[in-house]
Amino acid sequence: MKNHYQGAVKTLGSALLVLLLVAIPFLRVPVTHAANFQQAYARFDRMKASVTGNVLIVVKPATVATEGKLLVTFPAGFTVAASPTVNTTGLPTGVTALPGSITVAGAGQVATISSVTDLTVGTLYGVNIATGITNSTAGTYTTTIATQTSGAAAIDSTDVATRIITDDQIVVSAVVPPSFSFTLSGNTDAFTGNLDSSGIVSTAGKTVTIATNASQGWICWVKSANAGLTSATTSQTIATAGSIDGSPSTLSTGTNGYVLDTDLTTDNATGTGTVVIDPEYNGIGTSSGGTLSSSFQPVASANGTSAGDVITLIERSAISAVAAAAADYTDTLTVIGAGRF
Amino acid sequence: MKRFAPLFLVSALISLLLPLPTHAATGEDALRLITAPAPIDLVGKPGQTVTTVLRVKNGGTKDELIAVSALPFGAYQTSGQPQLRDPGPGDSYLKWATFSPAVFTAPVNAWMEITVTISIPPEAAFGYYYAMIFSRANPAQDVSGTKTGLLGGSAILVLLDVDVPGAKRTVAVNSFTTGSGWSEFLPITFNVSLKNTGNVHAAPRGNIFLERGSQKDIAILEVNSEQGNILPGTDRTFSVDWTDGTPHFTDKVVDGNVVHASNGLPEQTLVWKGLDLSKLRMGHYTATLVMTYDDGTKDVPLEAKVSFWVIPWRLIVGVILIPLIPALLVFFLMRRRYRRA
Repeated sequence: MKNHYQGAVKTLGSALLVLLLVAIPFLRVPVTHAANFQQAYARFDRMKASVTGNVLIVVKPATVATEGKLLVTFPAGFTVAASPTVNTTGLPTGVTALPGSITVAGAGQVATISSVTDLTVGTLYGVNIATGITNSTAGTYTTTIATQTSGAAAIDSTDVATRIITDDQIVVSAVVPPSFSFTLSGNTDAFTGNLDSSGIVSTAGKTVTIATNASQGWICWVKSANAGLTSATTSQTIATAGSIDGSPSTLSTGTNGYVLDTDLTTDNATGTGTVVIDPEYNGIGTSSGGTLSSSFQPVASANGTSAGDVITLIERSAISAVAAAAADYTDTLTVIGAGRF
Repeated sequence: MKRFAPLFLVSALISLLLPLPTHAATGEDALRLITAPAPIDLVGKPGQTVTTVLRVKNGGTKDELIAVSALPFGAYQTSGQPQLRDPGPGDSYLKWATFSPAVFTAPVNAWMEITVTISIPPEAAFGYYYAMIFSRANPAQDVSGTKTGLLGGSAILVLLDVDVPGAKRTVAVNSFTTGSGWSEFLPITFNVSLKNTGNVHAAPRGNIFLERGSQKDIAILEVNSEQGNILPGTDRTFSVDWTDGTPHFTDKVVDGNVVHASNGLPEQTLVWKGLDLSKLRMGHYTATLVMTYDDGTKDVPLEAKVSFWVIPWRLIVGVILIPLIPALLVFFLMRRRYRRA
């Protein structure tokens, strides 16, 4: 009987033990742990040590609850100002602004963003802590992002790695030297017909194109080899007309004369300069121009930069009825351009 | 095969009738040179050798044989513009400069560097002014028939200051004026005429401070911020525009080019865009010029004042007429009705 009783006690004990083991998980006092966000990150606009910059916080809630706060706990070594500022401007595409009339306060290492309204699970929310966070020294740290109810009950929480480096910017430097581009469109300029005592004949014209970033602008000079059209075979010269007096000279039909007309073809609006044709060479119509000289004379200038100003040089000539016939009347113009000092 | 013969014939005729391909202005004989920097300031002492590097790029379509040489330059007495000259008896300083290389082949679109060495003799003093000119070494021109020849060149201006005791840097204000005593709208152009009364070039710079009544520093304008030089014994006028007003006149631009009137000046157009009543300029203004230059030991100030009016009379008339016209209409209508009654 005693053995029978002992066996029953053992069986009962074993059953209780099994029951206890099975029940233990259910008997534990429940301890609540916040779940991880579905996604969370902190993007520091400046990763350089000891600098202050915007910190973008992005979270995707995982737990159904009514959020009231978003807490960002920065690692030791970071400085959290008592009154940081937050905004929701310039968030990445696909990120919804953290809802609510949010405010922020700093205490210790924690920036607490309050007055957050309920977040939807699975939606990506973002907020900028625009000011008030100063980075620590270079190293690897952990920042904790968490949501709480308005009563400070934890909802979601995630630790994110934060790396601070000694310098996060590359200084790009380049030199743009003052430069000057000069283009003369040809090295000869033919009269459009034979010189004729019954009219004024002009050359087709050649262009000078100047582009420069010289802030003082540019200048162009012209010098004539002979101050006239000369013929080697007849030793005759059709001399230039007029004098250098600040106004163009007008050729007369039937009278020997030779002038240079400078036309403004393009005053390029890209740049600070305005082109001025020297009054001496600013001919009017098709019968006037400036007196040519065997010393350099300014024909045009500009007072600032230009992406491509164009002037056209046209020689004009009239001859008398007794001008010696020859096929070799010619002159050579030297055209020099320079950026001004 | 014979039956295709007419087709070949038609094809050949069509190809003959088609227009020939056109080429840009930079044809076979065009010259395009890009030079840098511009200009160059050098300082040396008697007996020293100074060097600098000139850079040139052939922007044409074929390799060019380029020569570099030096010409003297000065400045026109009143305008201060660079004056290129042929060498004269007093220009022996040109021989102090040597080039390496002096003649070289410039491949298309490749920068070439030319070292200029200036050996300053012991007796040298004060300022020497070189125009370093790049041009074709062997210009081939066919000027047969009625043609003129054109020689192109691109110059880099070099200002050499030989530092010796007795160097005198003095600058005086000739005049400080506006275009006229009054203007309807901005811009107001200030002309600052300075004279270098010393024996070396000088580069004063400074500001124009604008005030109206008790309102100080309405605008602060830069004068010669790029430090353009004034050569000894010459004048130079720096023009500065005050443009910060609404509405304001600006150069008329069509297809990216400034439109010039028949008098050679840019056509103006009134811009109302961005109307900002705080920048509606009206009343009596005073402009104070304050510039300084380094005389070798200290900064020397230059000061001048000018007053002017801005009277937007059309706006004023409009503002008066807008309420006046309805008021007059009402007055006359009422008077008419009163008389009838």
